[in-house]
Amino acid sequence: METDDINRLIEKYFEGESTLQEETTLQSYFLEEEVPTTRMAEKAQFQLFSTMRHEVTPDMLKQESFFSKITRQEDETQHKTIRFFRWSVGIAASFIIMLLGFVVGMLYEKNSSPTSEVLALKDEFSQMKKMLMFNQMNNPSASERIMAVNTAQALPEADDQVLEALIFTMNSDVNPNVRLSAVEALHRFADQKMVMTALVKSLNTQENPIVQIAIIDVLVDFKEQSALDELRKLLQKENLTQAVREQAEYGVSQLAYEN
Amino acid sequence: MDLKAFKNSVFPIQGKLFRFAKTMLQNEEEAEDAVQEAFLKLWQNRQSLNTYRSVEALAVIITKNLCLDRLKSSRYKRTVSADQIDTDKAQASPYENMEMSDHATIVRHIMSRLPEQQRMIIHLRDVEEYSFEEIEKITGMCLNNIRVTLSRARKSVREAFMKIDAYGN
Repeated sequence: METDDINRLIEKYFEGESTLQEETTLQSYFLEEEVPTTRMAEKAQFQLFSTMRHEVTPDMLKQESFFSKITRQEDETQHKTIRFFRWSVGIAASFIIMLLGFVVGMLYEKNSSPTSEVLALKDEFSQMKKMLMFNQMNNPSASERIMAVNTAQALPEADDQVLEALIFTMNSDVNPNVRLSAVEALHRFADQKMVMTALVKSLNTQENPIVQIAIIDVLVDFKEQSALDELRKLLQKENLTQAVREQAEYGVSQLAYEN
Repeated sequence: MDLKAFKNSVFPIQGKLFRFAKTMLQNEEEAEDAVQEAFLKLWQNRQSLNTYRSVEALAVIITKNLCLDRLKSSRYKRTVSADQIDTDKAQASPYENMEMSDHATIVRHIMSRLPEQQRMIIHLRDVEEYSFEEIEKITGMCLNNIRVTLSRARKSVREAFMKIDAYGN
């Protein structure tokens, strides 16, 4: 290698104008040939570059730990998305279940409200009670009939059917005790027009003094003015028991006084 | 691109990237971290790697940016500690004779003191032997600027060496 050529190349090199090929030439010159001591700086430079170029580098790619780290990170993000997916599915499912619960509850409420069910049951029960009562009223035993009347009296509300049965018992039962019970039972429902009319009418048809007195008591208790005529009619009866007469007179005085 | 194909495409350039990062950061551990980070970025973008004309250029660009980020961060100490030089000396090839080893160590030390840009250009050109076009692509600098910077870097290394050598001898 001509020293002049080398010098020219070195000059180019330091001006940053040399080509890669020229630099390769310089490189082989400085690494392989005898270099004058005045060129020690350049030699050191090229020496270092060569050393650096062939420097042992940590084989990162061969370290499985690095790639397992990379893939692990990937897995983690995948895991995260899966976990998030599971979570969201769970939340959605719980919402759906809650909604379903509401819907079912509302439907149930609509179709078979417990209160309406209980009412229906109660109604049915009272119907059955009534049927039993009517049956009992035709029982040949007087005490059984009295029990039936008491049952009728205990009813929270009496419909026309019950009242008619009681009135019929009062007017036509053979046993005076049963008739008395019927009057007492009717006492509770005397605020109804039908009952009062029946009581007033019954006054002169009853034979038994105890029943008569009971009826007068009810009439006085309710201050029934329409009963005055019937009471006066009763007083005109000649074979009237003394006690009944006194009670009737008392009743007339009470009702007339009110008037 | 699966893991195996990815390994095959980045395996040949890991040495270049590491040397480059080491020159830039002047710290072996930091350089290793930077290169791993660069690989991670490449891996995350593996779907679009085929669309780049040169994976190597892309990898070098990514590494360069990561190194510059690290240099900018206030935590990074720019000064090279004394034991750093010792470590470099210890890693010199045993086949080199003591004198060359000393000289190379001096040059290495000088290079570590160069401004970032000069260090980058001289490394890309003189160590990795990239063409000017490639350096343009990697650094984003224009050809003229690259030549000037390279010339300055080479000259200042030589001058610094001569000063130290004259003083030492």
